[in-house]
This record gives sequence, structure tokens and C-alpha cells, in this order.
Amino acid sequence: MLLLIGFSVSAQEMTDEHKKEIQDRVKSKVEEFQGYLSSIVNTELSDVRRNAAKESALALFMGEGEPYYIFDEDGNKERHREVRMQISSVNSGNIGSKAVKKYLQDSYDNIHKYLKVTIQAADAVRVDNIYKVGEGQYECMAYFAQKYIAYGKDGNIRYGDFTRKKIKVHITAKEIPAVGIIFEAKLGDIYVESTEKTR
Amino acid sequence: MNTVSKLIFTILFVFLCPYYVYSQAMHALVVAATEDDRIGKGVVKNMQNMTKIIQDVANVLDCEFEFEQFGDSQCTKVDVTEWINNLDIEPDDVVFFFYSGHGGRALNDTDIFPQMCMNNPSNQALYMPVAHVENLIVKKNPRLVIIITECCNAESAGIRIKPLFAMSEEKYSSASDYDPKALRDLFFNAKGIVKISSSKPTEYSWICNTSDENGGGIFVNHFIDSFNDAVKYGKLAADWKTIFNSTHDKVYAEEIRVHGKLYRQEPISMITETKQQDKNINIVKRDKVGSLYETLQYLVDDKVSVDKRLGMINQVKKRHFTPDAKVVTLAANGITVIDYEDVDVFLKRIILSLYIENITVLNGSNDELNSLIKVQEMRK
Amino acid sequence: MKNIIYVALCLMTALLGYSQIILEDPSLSRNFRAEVKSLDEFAARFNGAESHPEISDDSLMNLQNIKALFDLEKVIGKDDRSQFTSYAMSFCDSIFTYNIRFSLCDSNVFALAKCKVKFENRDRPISLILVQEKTSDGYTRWGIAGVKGLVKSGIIKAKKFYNISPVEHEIHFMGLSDILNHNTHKAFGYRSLNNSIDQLNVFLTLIQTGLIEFEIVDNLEIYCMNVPGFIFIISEVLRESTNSGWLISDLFPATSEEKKQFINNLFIEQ
Repeated sequence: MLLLIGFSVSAQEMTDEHKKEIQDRVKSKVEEFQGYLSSIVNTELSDVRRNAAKESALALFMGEGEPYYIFDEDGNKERHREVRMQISSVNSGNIGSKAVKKYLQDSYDNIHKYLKVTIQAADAVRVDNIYKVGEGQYECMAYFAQKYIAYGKDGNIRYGDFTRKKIKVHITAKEIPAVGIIFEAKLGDIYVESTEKTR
Repeated sequence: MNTVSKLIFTILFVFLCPYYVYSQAMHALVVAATEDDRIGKGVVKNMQNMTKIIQDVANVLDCEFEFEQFGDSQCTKVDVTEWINNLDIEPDDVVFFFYSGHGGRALNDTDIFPQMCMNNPSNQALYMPVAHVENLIVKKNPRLVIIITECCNAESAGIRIKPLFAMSEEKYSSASDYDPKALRDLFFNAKGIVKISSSKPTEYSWICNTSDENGGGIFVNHFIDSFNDAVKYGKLAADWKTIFNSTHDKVYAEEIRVHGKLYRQEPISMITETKQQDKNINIVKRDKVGSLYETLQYLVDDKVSVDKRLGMINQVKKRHFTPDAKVVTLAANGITVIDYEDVDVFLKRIILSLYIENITVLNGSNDELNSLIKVQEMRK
Repeated sequence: MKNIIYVALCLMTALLGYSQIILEDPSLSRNFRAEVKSLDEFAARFNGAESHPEISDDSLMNLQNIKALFDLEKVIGKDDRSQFTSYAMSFCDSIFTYNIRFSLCDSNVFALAKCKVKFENRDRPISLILVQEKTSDGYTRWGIAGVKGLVKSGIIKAKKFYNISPVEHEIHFMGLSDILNHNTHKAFGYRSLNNSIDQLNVFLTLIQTGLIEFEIVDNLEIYCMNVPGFIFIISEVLRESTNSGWLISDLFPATSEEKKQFINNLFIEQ
């Protein structure tokens, strides 16, 4: 399924005041994403809640995790693949990439292998400067870190890692009737650097 | 009753009776002539700003809160009268009323407060004097009545003026920004009547008729600054006379130049507020969906299980929204639109969020099905 | 009563055993805040706009921040550590003497991305050199300024020259349809002796025609020549430490001439 994303407008430039508010919003969205990731792998939570977290996480992304089109300045359709997560391991080099949608589904499915999972997140999310990349199109980066430990049914640690996640964020200025100009921030590709400590 | 029984009864009474708190609620109505050709945009800004203020107060104090917002179609004497008459007021309750729109006064009128033109400035028979609102509310015998109007006290003027004030830089509103004691002093430790209007007899009230950061009335914007000085920044004492005096001085200092002529605006007040002892407020128990505002607060209430709240999404959608409804989220500055979501995406998101304390409904109907609502988030 | 206590204890143990525990690791947040998470953050600390959280706000703050931008493990591991330290101090002096600001959008800053592409069903290593620039419309963008490795990886065969017959002109070069269409692997060998191959244009053409598929960037380094007297290289290091992220991994002295040569070598396939 390919999603069409509306044509962005040049009617309103992003002022410094807008930038600040949007950076705050990006930070909130990344914090929410962190929260959703924690919920998805939380063995204590109901499947209903974990599934809601998975759906809400996907709603944060460009194309909601599916391939999508955007219209460029000349009105041409530009096709984009689905957002992906590329994982680079300090221990074993580039592991590869997978679609974010698959990553979330795998995270949802795999918890049944473990007795419990613990996640700790760094208490800071950083959002960098917003850059204009086209008419009504802006991009920035956001960063957060997590520690993940999964315990097997025997109570021993089966898997552990420390990951630093970098998320590209796309911001599109759109004109919505009866609302005005909105600056919609959606998450894009994620680059993950991981140090595994599997026992 | 023998001695042992009496002792047991006394012990039970002391421990089982709730400790001494007042049962009190705040009832708020924000009314505005939002579709007016000349001042509609500025009036909408005023409505949003005052809605945010009063909802923030209710959220921070976590009190029983009944809130209504009447846009243009309900900006009438009939609707306001009906709302007041339907109020169920306890002796310790607070009633808050705000109006923004055209205003005027009759010749030889001895009341310094204006008549509100409501949504039909061309028909004087439909005007509603501020005094009439006061009388209706006072008859209900609440502890504190607050009536604030931004409207002319002569002929209305909706000419665009250059910006005279800057919105203060604020991140997301958080409960920790406010001083709860200051808010209690203003709303629940006060008794009497607070009546404030934006200009004195024969004066215009000036409004910037845009929806950007400069929009809204001079009076409302300075009032909010003074109010925040009292309840957020500790720069002013938390009482209505001090807030009014500060607002008055700021507004009166403005030199309003229109078509080469210099105007001034001088707010007026009648404040008979007296201070009472500080007391605890009965924390609201949310156990059902009710008005739109109540429903959204329920959905972010982390005392209720997430699974239970998720299970209510369909019910909430049917009760308050049309099938294709959208939700607009505004940033802390009240201008930048930072999200535009389908209602079910929005509801799920706020339920799952660990960071949202409250939702301020800037625009939305409690009774009708909404196709579009505007909200702001108060985040931890 | 004993049974009640026993059951209660069992329940408590069960709840504790299956509860979700968030381990307290204070170093996670501390390390994350200290880490140079992005090149934006690198620039901010280099330029004095932000600070490493554990550096005191005093007159030495800017100098300490520049020092903290070095990969200290690399420094410690150097054989000529004292000489490197001396270079580093001169480097800092140069920054403050000439009031140098770091920006990615600088003609003296290059990104070298070592990549993998797929050509004829095999993975081949190549390198891209990218520069960040501002367009006339005010947009910031990366542009591919150079490509190398197409010859070394066997994507193009350019070492040998092949002959077009000296008499071909008499038949109006009709032989070109034979040699160009039926021996395409020799194509680059038919260029004039004085023509060098522009690998950037070749690469982009191969991408456009779908003959090459871009796979992944294996390694990324940023080469900076904007500090007078020095070349420094920035790489990203992931460690659980307050010295991590984008850090200066190497530094060496270089005159202007040496910098020009270095840049040339950056673009040329060795």
C-alpha cells in the first residue's frame, strides 16, 4: 500500500518561534516512541495495550511504516520506500536493515521467548537544529539511548545491549482548510548503534 | 451506650469520616462572537486564551469543573441565561464568566459596565447587560463570582493595529509552572464578586484582529500577563485587586494610534472579594465520561488503568465526534499547529502517553458531535 | 494464621519475581548527556555554544571543551603520545588565535563514506566524497563531490586502451557499432589517451541506468581542513563512557600546500 502525502506549501516560512515549538514537539514524539518501544516488549502488559503501543508507534512514522509518495515542488510524485532501521553493531559491524514496521512486529512477537525484559532509557532526548530542505520541507535529527536486558525462562540473562538510536525527522508544512498551516513532524529512518552483551 | 461502645464509636467516627474538606466546584462559561466580520479572529484568540487559563486552573487545582464554551451561534442572551439558570451551585462554588465581542451602552446609562452585543450588534433588544449576568449568577448564591468582559463601552472598533505586546516564551504548560496556593487564594479562598471590563464608559476596547501571535485584545493579553505574574512567577500578590491594578496600568499605558488619532483604553472593575482561610480542595473523582472536557481528562488520568481507558475509545468517539473527526494540537504559544490527527489516533496516543498531565480544550462542543476540536497538552 | 502468612509470602514472591524491573544505572543518562551525539553538537561544543556537562563554567571552559572532543582512547593508544599532545595544544592555540568556527557547511570539510554497492550481482567497495553546501534557495544539502574505487573494484576497466582502427574514418566509423555494442566491458578503453575518467559521472550514470544498486555505508569519516596548520578527522565512536560519539580520531600538522595535496588525494583513486 502506498500512501500519498499532500503537497506542502510555501505560504508560511518556519519562523524561529515555530522552530522552537516544533523542536519541542519532535522531542515529545521521540519520548512517546521510546515509551511505545518499552510497552511493546513489556511482558507485564496486556496484548491489547502492547498492540495499541505498536499501532501508535507506527502512526509516528512517515507513511505509517509503509512505502509512500510525496509531491515535489513541480507537482511530480516522488516515490519513497518504507522507513527502515539500520543496525550497526560495535561487536560485529553492520548487521543490516529492516523495515520499522517489521522491527516493531518482531519486537511484539519475540517477547514470548523471555521471562522478563528490563529497559532503561537515558533521561535526555536531544533534538538538533531544523534544516530547510525544500519548499515547505524541513528535516532534523533526534537522539536517544536505551539499555535492554532480556531474561530467559531459567532466569538467566539471554540477551543484553546498549543502543544509541538516531532518528531522522521530516517536517512538512501543510495548509489545512479551517485550520491553517500545520507543521507536521513525522519520524523517518532510524540508525541504531548497538553494543551487545549477550551471555 | 456503655463506655466501651462510646469509645469504639468515637474512634470509628474519627477514622472513618473524611478529614475536613470543602466540597466545591468551578463552573466556567466562555462566550465570544467568533464569526464577527470585523473582530472575529481576534475574539477567537481571546476565547482560546481565556479557555486555556481557566482550564489550566481547574487542572492544577484538580477540582470539580464544569466548563462550556459558546461560539457565535450560542453567543446569545437566551443561551447564556439558560446556562446560568441550569447551574447547580453549592455554597462553596465559584462561577467564572468571560465574554469577548462587541459592546455598547445606552444613553444616560448610570451603570459603568457595558452591555454585551452578543452575536447581533444591530439589534439592541438582544443585548445583555453585564449587570444582568451578575444578577442571574448572584441569585444562585455561589461563594465567588468572576465576570470579565472584553468589549467596547461605546461603539465597537475592529481596526487592525500594530502589535503592542509580545507573547512570552513558554514551553508546554506544566502543572509545576503554577503556584497552587496562589490559585487557591484567587478561586477557592476568596469570597465575593469580581467584575472587570476592558474599558470605561464611552471608550473603545481595542483588539488585534489576527489569529497569529499578535492577535487578541489588548486587555485580555495584559490581563493574562498580570495573572501569570501572580500565579506563575510570584511577581504579584495573588488577589484580584492587585491583578486588576496591574492590568489597568499596562493597558492604560498603551498609546493606541489609529488613523493618526491617539486613543487610550482604561479598564474598570468592581471587586468586593474578601480573603478566607486556606483549605484543601476536594479532589475530583472521574469515573465516567461526561462532557468533552471531562472525558479527555479521564482518558489521561493515570489512576485509571490503561486497558480500561483503551476500552472506552469507541464509546468516546460515538459520544463526542463525527466519524471523520480530526484533532488539532496547538503548541504552548497557542499559535503553531503541531499536530493534526484522526480522532482515534489522538485518543490512543493520549491514553498511552506517560507525559500528558491534562488536555485543554480550546475549541470543542460538549453537547454536539465535533468534526474538529483544538487542544493543547499540559505535559509533565 | 501460619497458612495465611505463608500464602501471602508466596504471593509477594510471585509478584516480585514477575514484575518488570527498571534497573537503576545512573551512568546511562550521564554518559548520554556527555556524548557528542551529533555533528551539530560537535560544532556547538567546538564553537563554545554548548559544553560537555562535566566541564566547569570558567575561563578555561572553551579549551577544555575542545580537548574533550578528542577520542581519548585513541590518544592514549598512540606510540608518539607526547608529540600528539603537543600537536593538540598547538591545534587549540590555532583555533583560538584565528577564532576558527566549525561548520559542516564549509568548503574545507569533506565527508568520506566507504560504501558497498551491488554491480553484476556482486558487492563491490567504493568511496563517496561528499560536501555540505547551501543552495541559492537557502537550503542546506549534501552533494556528492567525488567517487573513487570504481576501477579498483572492477566496475570499470580503465587501465588498458583499445584501438579503433586508423582507417576507420574511410568507412565513416561504422565499426563503432561493432566495438561499442558487442564489447561493452572494454568501453572505457576507447577514450582518447589524454582523457581521464570522471568517476562521479560514471557512478551517477550507472545508478540512473540501474546497473549499480547502492547498498550501505560501512564507514564514515569527516575530514576537516579549516584550522590553520592542521588536518583533523572526526569519526563516530560508540562507548559506554563520557568520552564517546563524534570525536576527533586523528590530527596531524599540514601546511596549505599539504592540505591541497591531501584534498587531491582524497578524490583520486590510489
